[in-house]
Formats: sequence, C-alpha cells, structure tokens
Amino acid sequence: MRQPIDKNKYIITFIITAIIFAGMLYINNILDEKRFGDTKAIQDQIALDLLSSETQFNLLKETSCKNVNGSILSKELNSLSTKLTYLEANDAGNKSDELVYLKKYYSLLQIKDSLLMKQLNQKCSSKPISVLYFYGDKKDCPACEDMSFVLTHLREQYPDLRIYSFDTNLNLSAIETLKSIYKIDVRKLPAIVYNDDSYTGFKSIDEMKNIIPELKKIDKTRALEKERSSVSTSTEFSSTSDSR
Amino acid sequence: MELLFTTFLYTFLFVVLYFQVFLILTLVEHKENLDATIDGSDTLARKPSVTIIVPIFNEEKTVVKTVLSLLDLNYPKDKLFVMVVDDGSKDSSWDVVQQFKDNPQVLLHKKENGGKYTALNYAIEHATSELIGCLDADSFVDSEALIHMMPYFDNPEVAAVTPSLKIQNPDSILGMVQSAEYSMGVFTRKILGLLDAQYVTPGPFSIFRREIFSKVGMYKHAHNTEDLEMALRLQDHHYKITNAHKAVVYTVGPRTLYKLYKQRVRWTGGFIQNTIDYKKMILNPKYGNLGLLILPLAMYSIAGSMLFLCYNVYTFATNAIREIERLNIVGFNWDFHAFTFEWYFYNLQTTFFLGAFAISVVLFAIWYGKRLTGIKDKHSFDFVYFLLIYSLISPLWLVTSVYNTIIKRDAAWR
Repeated sequence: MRQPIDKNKYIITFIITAIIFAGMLYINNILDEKRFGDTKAIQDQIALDLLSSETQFNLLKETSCKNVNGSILSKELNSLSTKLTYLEANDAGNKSDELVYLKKYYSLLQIKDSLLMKQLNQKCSSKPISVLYFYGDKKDCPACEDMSFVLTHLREQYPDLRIYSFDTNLNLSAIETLKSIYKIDVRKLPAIVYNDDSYTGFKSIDEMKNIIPELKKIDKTRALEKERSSVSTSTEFSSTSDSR
Repeated sequence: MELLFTTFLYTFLFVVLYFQVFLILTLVEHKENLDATIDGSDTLARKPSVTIIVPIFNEEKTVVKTVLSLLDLNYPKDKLFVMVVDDGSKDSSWDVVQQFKDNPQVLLHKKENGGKYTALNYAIEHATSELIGCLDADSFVDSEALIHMMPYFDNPEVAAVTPSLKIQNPDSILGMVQSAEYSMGVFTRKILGLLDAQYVTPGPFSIFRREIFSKVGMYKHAHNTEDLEMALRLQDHHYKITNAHKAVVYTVGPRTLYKLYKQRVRWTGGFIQNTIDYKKMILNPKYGNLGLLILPLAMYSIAGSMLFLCYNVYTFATNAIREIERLNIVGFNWDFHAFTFEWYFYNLQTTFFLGAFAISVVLFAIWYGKRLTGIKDKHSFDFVYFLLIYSLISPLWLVTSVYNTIIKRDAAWR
C-alpha cells in the first residue's frame, strides 16, 4: 500500500512556511523603516546645519568675511543624495509615498543651501562653484541618465563643485518657481543652470568644462602642482645623490 | 514587468521554502527510525540469491575493479552472481574480463551493441536469481552495501531498494562540487523514500525483485534515462521503492566540465521528458506524495529556475550596458570608486533572507547526508565548492535540457 497523503502535514507545512515567510518580510520591513528613519535623521541634521549657517551668516553680516568659509554649508548633502538614489533604486514599492516626501524635503534643503551659498558669494566674493540640474524620468528624458553620469563624475573629480539636482516631476511649488525663474522647458530636459544661465540637452564632460571655466582653472592648478611636486622630488633625489 | 517578476519571485521562494520545510518535517517525523536503522549484518535477515549486472561498453580501464568490488561484497558466495554483459565494446573490455571466466560467481555474456537498456534486458532474461541489480562499470560498492539492503526486502510490498551514492575520491574542484551534491542526494533520496516518492532507481546498484520485470515490463530506451523511467513505472504500478541509506556505492563523477555537462543534460532532459510521459501522475492524489508534491515541485522548480535565469541574464545585461554607457561618457577612472561599508547600502531584502534560509537548509542536507551513510567523510569542506560553483554551472545544462525538450531531442549517452 502506498503511503496515504497526510493532509495535516501539508497544512502544517504551509503554516510553518507562511510564518517563516512573514517573519522575513517583517524583518525586511523593520530594516526599511530604519533606512527611511536614517534618511530622515540626516535631513533633520541638514536642516539644523542650514539654520545654524543662516544664523551664523546673519551674525557675521556686519563683520568681515574672514571667518566665513565653505564649512558653514552643510557637507551632508552629497551623502544624502547617494542614500536617496539607493532608496529610489531599491524601493520595494509600498514606500514610494515616503520616498516622494523625502525627495521633496531634500529639494527644499538644496534650494535653501544654494541661496545661502549665493549670498555668501556676493558678500565675500568667495567662489564655490554651484550648478543646478533639472531632470525628469526615463520616459520624458532619455538623456538624463547619461547626464547624471557626467555630473556624478564631475562631483567626484571636483569636490568643490556643488550640484543641486531637482526632479521636475516632484510637483513641488518651489521647484516650479525655480523652473520659471530660469525658464526651464521640461520638454528639453536635462537642463543645467550655471551663473544664472541655463543650458538644455545632454552635455559631455568637455562641454561642461566650457560652461564652467572654473573647472579648467582647477585642472591647470592641479597640473602645475603636479609638475612642481615631481620637480621637487627629482631635485630632492638629485641632491641626495649629489651629497653621496 | 517588475511587479510581475517580483510576484513570481516571491511565489517561487515560497514554494522552495514549502518544499524544504516539508522535507525537514518528514525527517523529524522519522528521525527515530533513521537512528535505529535496520542493519543487515543482524543475520536474522534472509539472504536471497542476487545477480548484479555489469553492462559494459568500452570500459577496459575500470571494469575489473568494478567486478572485484562486487566479488568482495560481504554476502554468501553461493547466493551472489556477477553477470558481465559486453554491449559490443570496441576496445579490449571483453579480453580483460576473461580473467574471471573460471570464477563460478562470474557469468560473461557478449552481445551486439544496442544501448545500455538492451544490455540490462538481456541480462534480466538470462538471470535466475530472486533479486537483480546493476552496477555501471564506473562504480564500486562498499563491501557491506548489499547486506544493508536485504532487510528492506522483508517487506513484500517493496519492489526495489536504492543505495546511497558517493563520489569516489573527489580530488578536483569539480569532484568536490559533485561530492557535496551527492551527499545532499543521500539526504533527499532517503526522505523521498520515506515519502514513497522516489522517482529514480539509480543505475549504480539499485536492487529489484526479478519477478517485478515480468509484471511491469523490461527496461525501455526512455530518453536515455532508463533508471528514471523504471522508477516512474514502478510508481505507476504502485510498487514500493525504498532506500537503504547505509548501503554505500561509490561512483566516478565526470572529471571535466564538458562531461559533467553532457551527463546532466541527459539527466535533466530525461527527467523532464519522462515526467511528461507520465504526466497523468502530476497533481494526482492517487500517486500519494509523489503525484501531489514531488513531481509537480520538481517540474515547477525547473520552470522557475529558467525564468529566474532569464531575469538574471536580463538584469546583468542591462547593468552591463549601463556601465559601458557610463564608461563611454566619463571614461575609465580607478580612484574615485571607493567602497563604502555602511550597513545602509547592504541589500538586505526579503529575497536575501529567504535565500539565506534556503542555503542553510541545503547545507544542513549536505551535512545530514554525510552523517546518514555512517561513513566518515574526509571532504568536509566540499560544500564550499558546491555553494560557490554549482549555481554558476547548473544553468548550462538546465537551458540545454529545456531546449532539447522543446525540440524533442534525446541527449546522447556519451
């Protein structure tokens, strides 16, 4: 006789499997919550940083620029943007509302940061380089992905470069205002704004350097420094060999 | 598309998990029986006459060792016969086996080449013993193997008993991979045996009652996997196939990736096509756990793995294209891609946890399989090779087998 089917076993197996499955989903959920929580905490930190920068700026308005430097601007923005990109790429689906909220908040922080930076530039004639970048999703803007490769690369190469990126689909009134100020046409994305001039369409690394001549200057200084250091090591080397 | 795949992935993982939980529950259920296993060396067991068929085709190098290992079995000499059937070898196999011609235990037969199943049928027709088995000329038996199997035949419902297979001296990476895989096989076969759901009576040393062949018929070509078809046929006739986990048989696994690939294409393709031939069993409660769970799951897992593979190839290709695009735009630069070890970026998704769970069950099965045979295994770390390599190479034969099924082609033996 063939062993009869043990219905209870099939059911018990199902229950155990479901419990394990649900357990895994639960753990995953907790981790996701924590991720979003972390992101929120960073944003709060940035908001605090900005507020303190603004206050510092106001305090210093009357005095000299000597004490004001780039450090008063929040340095956390870049790390936040990487984390948001990660969340966006690995979004499990049900968190998208929260993600949109985080992105909106991030956009506002960027705008505040850029305004503060502008004031700082005017007052102290220091020249940190900042670029506004407007992008859309893949459907509206197939070239945006390529553009973001270029910008990520530039940001890695030039830590002084600040890139403020704005998702035009976010439906945020502040972004809409920015769009109208710089006359950004959403049909011609990606768009770059530098020194109040806007440029649309994909821009290669070289084109970006033409738009932002400061980057070329940095290249030059770097080349010079390199030359100098190689000269100095070679002279050091020759002097040691001479002394022998 | 994404949503469809996510749904599919979760269902797939759920089913895999269900299967694993089912196996483990079965193990827990029978644990006591397994530990206090019946042992043939308790001389109470009956010792019926046995013929072991050794079908050979160009096996001059290994056949003598195979026959010697059979003659060395701990079993009464007047009850054990070895029947060598030369299936038209072109090499010196026939000359080599002549050294046994004066041994009353060894019977030598030669026939025209017709394929392994014809050699088996030829031997079955000529044998007179109560039990009959087969041992391929690339396999060797542990001297206690047969005696461990005998007690299971005390149950008159049992038509066939399968052994535990191990890899002979796994001295290469590929050998280690197979060694771990076979250990897992020992575990799975035992559990399937307990569930009355074995769907293979492995070529190496499965023992049958001879009368069974007159009841269910002789071996068939069966897409070059006659051992699989025979098991399904026995199941179809509701005969019992049980497993003697302490009966150990060593087999020489393929030594090159190409040969392994050929073997697995034959096995996987044979499984798919034979299961299609016996599709009436699928989801049919008349066939117990085999029909309701094991066969449907095995077929589902093949289909699932295929889809999974397609998705992985698709993701890999899109990422590769993206990366090439990126390199095209920004050029190649080393220094700025520092790795960040922040927990935030670790991909700890549900799939990751479920995957980790599935892998731990696989590891448990390998370990338990080693333990079951009661033979100390020198290669305790073969599972590492298995985990690293198996998932990379198994898609090779999976794809070919499925393709062969679609175009209805049988895989070649060699």
